[in-house]
Amino acid sequence: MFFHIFKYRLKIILHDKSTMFWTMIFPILLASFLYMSLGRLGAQETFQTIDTAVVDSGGDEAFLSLVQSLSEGEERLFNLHLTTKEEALALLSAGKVQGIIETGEKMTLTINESGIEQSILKTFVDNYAQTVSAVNRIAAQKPESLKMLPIFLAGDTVFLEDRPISRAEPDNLLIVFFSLLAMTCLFGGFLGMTEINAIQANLSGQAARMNFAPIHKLKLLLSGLAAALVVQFAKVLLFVAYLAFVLGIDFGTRTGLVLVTLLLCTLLGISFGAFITSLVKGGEGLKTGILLAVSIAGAHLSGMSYAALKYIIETAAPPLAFINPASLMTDAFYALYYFDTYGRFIESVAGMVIFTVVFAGATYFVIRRRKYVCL
Amino acid sequence: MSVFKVCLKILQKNLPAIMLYFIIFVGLSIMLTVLLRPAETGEFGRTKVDIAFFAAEETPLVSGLREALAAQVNFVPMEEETEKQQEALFYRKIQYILRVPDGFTESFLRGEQALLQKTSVPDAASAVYLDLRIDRYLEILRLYVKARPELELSQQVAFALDDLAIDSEVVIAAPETESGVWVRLRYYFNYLAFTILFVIILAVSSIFLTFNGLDIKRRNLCSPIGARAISLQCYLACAAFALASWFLLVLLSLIFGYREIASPATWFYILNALVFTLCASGLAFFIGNLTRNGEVVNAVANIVALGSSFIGGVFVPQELLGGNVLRIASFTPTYWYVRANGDIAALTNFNLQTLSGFFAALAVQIGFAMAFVIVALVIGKRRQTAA
Repeated sequence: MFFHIFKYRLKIILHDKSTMFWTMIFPILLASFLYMSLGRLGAQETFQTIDTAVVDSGGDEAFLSLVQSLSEGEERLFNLHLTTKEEALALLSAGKVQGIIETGEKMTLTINESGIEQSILKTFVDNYAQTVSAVNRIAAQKPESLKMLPIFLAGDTVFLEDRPISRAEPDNLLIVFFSLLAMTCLFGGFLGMTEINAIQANLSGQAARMNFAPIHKLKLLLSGLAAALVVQFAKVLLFVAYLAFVLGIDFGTRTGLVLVTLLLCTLLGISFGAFITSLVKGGEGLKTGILLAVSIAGAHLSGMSYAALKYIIETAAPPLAFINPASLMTDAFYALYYFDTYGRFIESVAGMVIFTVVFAGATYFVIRRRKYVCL
Repeated sequence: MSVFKVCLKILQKNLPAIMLYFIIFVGLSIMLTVLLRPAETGEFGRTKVDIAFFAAEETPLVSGLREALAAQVNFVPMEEETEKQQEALFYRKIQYILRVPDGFTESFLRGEQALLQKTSVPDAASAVYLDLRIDRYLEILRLYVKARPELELSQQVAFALDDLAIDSEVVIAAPETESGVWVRLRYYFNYLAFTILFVIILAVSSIFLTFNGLDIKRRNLCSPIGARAISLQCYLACAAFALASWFLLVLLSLIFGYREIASPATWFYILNALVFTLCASGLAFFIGNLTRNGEVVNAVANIVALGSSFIGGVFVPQELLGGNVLRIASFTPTYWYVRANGDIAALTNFNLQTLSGFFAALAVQIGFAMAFVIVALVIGKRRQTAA
């Protein structure tokens, strides 16, 4: 009997086009839109060779050769344009260069706006003037050391070593997609809702008929939920495959644990829908509304529109993060991706398990042994 | 005008749901507009990077390093806990972690290789920016250590800092950038595109869903009112609703940006929004004619409003979108609407010549509106024959 019901529930779920759209097509479209519009935000932060115009009016050979040496090779600082003042200004207003360095008695930097590139240019120009000042001071204070200066200046210039803090790159754009995934898992609640609607006699005619059948309510519930779980998990896997292989979203290296987490998220989503449907008295519109509001608002609060919002909430109001299932899900994926340790991951997963148990348990106690005076 | 009246009745029935969306979106757009700080122009402001600084020793060299960095960084207090630091770096609460290891000063002074430890977002411009400064401080200090070894370290540091205080002159070439004042309104009007699209598609389609029901359609076809008159009155009702939404949104913008009413930019924003509203109602007219299924309409409203807003530059500025994305987006009216807003924000004086780009974008939107209506009428005609 279990498999009989399971089979038909499966067919019913698969034929529900509207739910299919919202729980599978819509997330994929949304992810594509987000990817298209946010894809280049990360590049904004990355250092890009600075287009610089140099106007040489003073014949400062040392400076020119320094700039030229920094404009060569793969990891160069500048793309150099050696030109006249007029042309440089034209390039600047056309946005072809970010700044103009004019050599001379006093070096000047001409720019159009403030920004990190302009700040780097400024630091570079300052640096040169600062070294000149140091050399002049030493020449004035201790002329005899002047001939030693080239040797002093030529020393090793490496003062910094890179100490990466994690194996994974700190790419916070991932949070946007992790929270979108969380929202998708919570949308699985629609399937939980359909299942409860199909077995609670006061919610649909079909359910009233089902309650006549000589079959244990728990079996009825479990076979329906199992069908929902199979379909929803398949959809979530498909969505994750789209994120990972088409959009190139990095889930880190712990694939096995990511899959387990996905299963847990799917369970949480379905039980959440079942919980709302069985507990909330009211029309289907109200239940759908609650489901949508909790999933969408929850996803936004866990960083779907602005990744740092998740961090702000976690540091300013930790309880708010812990009662938000979307935030727990997002956090679990984030912890798997970013941290070398498991403490954080286990914390989030524990929260998800608690939610699932509470939702599922409450649902069972609400729907069992219901009797109706009239239907 | 019996059809027109019925249309308004249908709208009235759907008003609570529409208002809900309206309020949420407007609230959201006002919040986002307020949160956005317009970039200040006119004066060069050095970028300041948020860093965490840990020193295992306190020497004149280390305090000098702090002082040398002060102009370029904000020191963020941070606990010595790896996970906390990882997290702060991930969300860019800090962008750079600098550590002075124990014994650094001593090996530096002895001329041995001495290394500071840095952690940054890989390949970030902010890291290049700080590296330049740190390297320069240590290079100049080393120069003094070698050339004036007889001096105290604190004196050498003081000389180095004195050199590092040299500030070269910066000229801002042409302040032809955004004029700051009406930039905020630009964001408000950009978000307006999403609200208008979503709400109008939802409302207009509700009319068509009713009218396109097969039985109702057959009944209407045998009424003494001509098919063209029915369509026309329907469209009039849609336009009336669209204009009402536009008026409400503009009113809100004027309350919200009352300080900028005097500027011509405000009125060009409003004109642009009006044209976009007409275009959106044309699009809604088209979608409404496309289907008889309410759920499909809801799905299409979401996809069209969200999709064109994302790739058209409503949520993320167009300057930050890729060339390919923008090319696709140029097939949506949203792109041209946002672009026209951008044109206005960039202007300091308004005349026919400077406004040519703006008017071109308006013309494209009008073209879109006409195309939508024409296609919708063709589809409507076919449906009619099918009925």
